[in-house]
Amino acid sequence: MTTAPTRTVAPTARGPVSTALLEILTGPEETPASGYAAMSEAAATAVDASQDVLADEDLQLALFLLYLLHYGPAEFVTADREWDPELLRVRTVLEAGFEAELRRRVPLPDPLPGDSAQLVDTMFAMTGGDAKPTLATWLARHPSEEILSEFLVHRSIYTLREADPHAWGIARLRGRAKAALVEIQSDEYGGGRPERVHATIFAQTMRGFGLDDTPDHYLDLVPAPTLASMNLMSLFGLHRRLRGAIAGHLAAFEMTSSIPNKYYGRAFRKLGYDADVTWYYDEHVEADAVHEQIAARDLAGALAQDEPELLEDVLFGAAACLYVDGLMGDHMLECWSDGRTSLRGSMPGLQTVGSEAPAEERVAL
Amino acid sequence: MSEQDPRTTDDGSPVLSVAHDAEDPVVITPCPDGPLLVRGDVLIAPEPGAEPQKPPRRVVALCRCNMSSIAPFCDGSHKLANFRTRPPRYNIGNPREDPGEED
Repeated sequence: MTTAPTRTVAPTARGPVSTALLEILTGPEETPASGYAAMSEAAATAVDASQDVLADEDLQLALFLLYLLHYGPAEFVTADREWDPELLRVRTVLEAGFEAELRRRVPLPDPLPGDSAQLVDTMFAMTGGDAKPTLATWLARHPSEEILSEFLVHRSIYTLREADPHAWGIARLRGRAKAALVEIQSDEYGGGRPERVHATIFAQTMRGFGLDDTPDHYLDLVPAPTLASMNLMSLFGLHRRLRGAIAGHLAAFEMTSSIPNKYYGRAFRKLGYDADVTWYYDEHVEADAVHEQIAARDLAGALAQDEPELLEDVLFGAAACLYVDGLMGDHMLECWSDGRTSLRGSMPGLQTVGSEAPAEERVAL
Repeated sequence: MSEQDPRTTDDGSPVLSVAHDAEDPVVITPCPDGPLLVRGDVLIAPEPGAEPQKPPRRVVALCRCNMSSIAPFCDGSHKLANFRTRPPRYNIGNPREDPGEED
């Protein structure tokens, strides 16, 4: 049995909340009361003062690290912190601010669909607008080593643990919705074949592109919108109350996946990469055309039919997926269109947009 | 956990078989404005006379719009093509029953 590489160095704090949190996570097993107090105070103050929780580097990193305790691996954490009540308390404060901001900003259709059949129609209509995806088509037109390497870095935060946040939902659903979620997740996890686990296929893409496939290796480089995308799934997945939202999130994710992945694959092929690198994208063109139908009808639709009180949250989860992932995509596109890096910095061996590279290494567009 | 067969449904009745076998038929679902969803153990011959092959997943989506780049499988292109299917026109369980109004 092989052990996956783990990140052993703690990430860099981005403000008072993540500073106080990282001091606890990397500190002695017995945290002094003053340490918890400093963190709680910093969190409450920061949530109140934040202009935009979704773009707040400090809050999104703190939330990401608190969720990371449930996923692992997090070798830089010195003690068993997963169920530390003081950390759960502060997570609740951050989540309240995060969810309130989402409920304020994520647009829902008006009027809301009246039943599950209308919900499915609404979800196809909502996701139809993303059928010709801006980021993916732009990448297929303007691929470069630097841009695609940044793209993989952003995606690595979620995709190296692809499907894990939605897996929390399995135990929280019943009947048809549970069976549909398991059917999708079974495919995500390789249908019994470890080499076909989607996260493993993505790791191969990263290695094939010369990138490090250790989960969170590039955590310091990714900005708040990328962390918010992952945190959104963890928020929905880790609360039974939000089981409608995690189902809706997965449905919207799958419904906007096949066509973009076709363009992503095309972008990599244009630069001369072969199936070792593009397998992940090729696999998702085919798999997600299946998952889309199951997720929309048998997962989201059946859940709204069996538990009608969850209908609005199913829709909220879907709309939040499109909104938050839209912010992440907009950030990348805006930066790259301006010839700037979309990352917070660089690392040795990583090609980023706007960095000095010898002209012959650049790919003609 | 009792010593009884643990495979029972919610109301306590036993589940006869959880394995998929010849008694477990393949189910084909035409998705409105989308592909045919085929659920079960199937082989697909790429063309007439060709050797049937096992698809890589247990549920496959077969293209109906003829726009797919990975035909016979669906790649989502029906959405770009604004492909529209007609509602079912045939009562599968009872072919003699009038399924509805004609055009």
